Amino acid sequence: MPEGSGVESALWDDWHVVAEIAELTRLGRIATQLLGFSLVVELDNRSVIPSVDLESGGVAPAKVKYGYVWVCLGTPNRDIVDFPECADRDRWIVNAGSFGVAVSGLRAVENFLDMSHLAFVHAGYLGEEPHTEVPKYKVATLPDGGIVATDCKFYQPLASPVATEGFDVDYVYRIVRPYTIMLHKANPIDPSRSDMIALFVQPVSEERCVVHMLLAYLKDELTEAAVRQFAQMIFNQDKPILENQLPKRLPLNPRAEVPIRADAASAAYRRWLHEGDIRYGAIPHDLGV
Amino acid sequence: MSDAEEAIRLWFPVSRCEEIVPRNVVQTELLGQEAALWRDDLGFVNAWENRCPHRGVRLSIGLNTGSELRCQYHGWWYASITGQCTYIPAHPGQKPPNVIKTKRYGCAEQYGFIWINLGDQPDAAAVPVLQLDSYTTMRSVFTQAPVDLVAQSLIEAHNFEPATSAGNYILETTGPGEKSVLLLQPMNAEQTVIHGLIPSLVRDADRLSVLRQFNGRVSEMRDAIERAAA
Repeated sequence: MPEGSGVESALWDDWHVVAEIAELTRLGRIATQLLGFSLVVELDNRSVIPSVDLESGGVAPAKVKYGYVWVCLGTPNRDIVDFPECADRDRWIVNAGSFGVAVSGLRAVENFLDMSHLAFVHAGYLGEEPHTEVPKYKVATLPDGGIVATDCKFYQPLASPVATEGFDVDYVYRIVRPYTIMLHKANPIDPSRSDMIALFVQPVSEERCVVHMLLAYLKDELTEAAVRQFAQMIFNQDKPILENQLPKRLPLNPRAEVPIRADAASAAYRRWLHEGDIRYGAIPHDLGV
Repeated sequence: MSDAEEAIRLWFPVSRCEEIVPRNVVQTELLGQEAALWRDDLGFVNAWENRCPHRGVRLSIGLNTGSELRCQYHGWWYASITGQCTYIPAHPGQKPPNVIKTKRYGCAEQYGFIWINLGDQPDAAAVPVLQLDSYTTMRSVFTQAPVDLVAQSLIEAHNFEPATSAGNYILETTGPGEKSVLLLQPMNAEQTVIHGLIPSLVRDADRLSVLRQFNGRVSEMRDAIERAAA
C-alpha cells in the first residue's frame, strides 16, 4: 500500500468506483488511475472479485457492487454507500456510462447538483426558457454527514425518456460522500415514486475524473437501452461546460466564485468540503481567491 | 521590478482587428492570463478575463448578443463596456447585485491590432507609438518559445532591432529599404505569437502574394527559433 499519499483519510480510506464490471468482463483487464495512483484491475476466471495491482507495488482491496468494481487504496473505514432502490424488482438498474472529464470530480458533483443550468445546458430536455427561475428550496446536513437539498422544483419539457409533456419535476439531491451524489426525481408516470440517479465520481487526479452513472429507473414502458441512451445524451451536454471551467479544481473560498440564492446547495457543498478538510480536487480556503 | 511585473503594465497586441468580428467571441492568452475578446454592435471591443465570475466557465464559449455577453452555463448576461451583470435567469425578477461584474482588461485598437493591458490602471495613451503613415497587417505566427528568446534571436540572427524605446517586444528590420515590423505577444512562459505589419498600403491585387511572402519569411525564422529553444 502506498504510504504517505498525502490524500486525506476521508478519501484515501473510502471506496471508489474504478470500472464497470461489464466492461471488465469484456476486456479482462483495465488499467486506470485513482487519486493519482496507477492501478490495474484484472478479472480472474476463478473469482468474481477482481484483483487490483498498484503500479507502485502491492494490492488494494476490491469489491463488486451495483455493477461496478470498487477499490479502497487505504484501510476501509466504512461500507460502500447503500442504495436500497437497487433491490426493487420493478426497476432497471443501469450502468449508464463512464465518462472521462478533464476537470476536478468535485466540479462534476457540483454541476449535477445545479438546477439553474438545466434550462441552458439541457435546453429542450431538462429545462427551457422562459422557465428559468429556481424557486427557493431547502438545504440541510445529513445525519451521517453530507448535504441534502429538498423541495427542489424545476419545469422540465422532457424530464425522462417516457415523458411526453413538460411538467414541474420534484427533485431531492443527496451528497453522501465528497465524490458521490444521488438524485431522486419524481417519475413522470407515477409521481408518488421516484427514479434514482447516482454519480460515483472517480477522482483520477485532482484535475481529471471519470463520472460513473448508476440509474435505478422504474421500468414503465422503458427499455434499458433507452434509459442508457438518454443519460448519455444528457451527460454529453454537460461535459464541454465542465471542461471549460477555470480553474479546474473547485475553489472552496466563497469569495472565489460569487454564489446566488439558487446556489444554496452548491454553497453548502463547498462549505461542507471545507469543514471536512477535503482538499483533493479543491482549492482550499487559505489559498487565496 | 521584475520583467514579469513590468510586462503586466504594458500593452500587447493579441489579435488583428479584422478577426474580432461582430457577434463572435475570441479566446486569447497574454502573460498566462486567458482573455475573451468580443465586439459589440456599436463597434466597441471588450477584453475580459476569460471566466464567468459565477462558476468560472470560459466566457469565450459564451454568446455575443451585440450588447451583452451571455454565459453558456447559467445564461447570465454581462453588459458591454462595463462588464456589469444585468440579468440572472434563475432569479428573473431581481436586479443582479452591482458587485457581480466581469474582470475587464484595458483594450485599444491601433495599427490594425487589438491591444490589451492586464494592469490595474491601463492608460490608453501608453499604447506604443509607431511612426506609420499607413500600414498593412500580416499573418500572425504562433511560436513554441519564450518571448525573450524570440526577441533575442530576431535581433541577433535575423537583422531586427527594437522599434521603440519600450523594450524588445516591438522590432523592425535594420538597414535601408521598406521595413517590416514584428510585434510579440507573450502568451505564457513557453509560447509567443509573432504579429507583423508592413508600413505601407498593399493593393488588393497584391495582397495575397505579399501575405504569403511575409508569412514564409517569418515562418522560417520561427522554425530556427524553435530549433534553438528545443
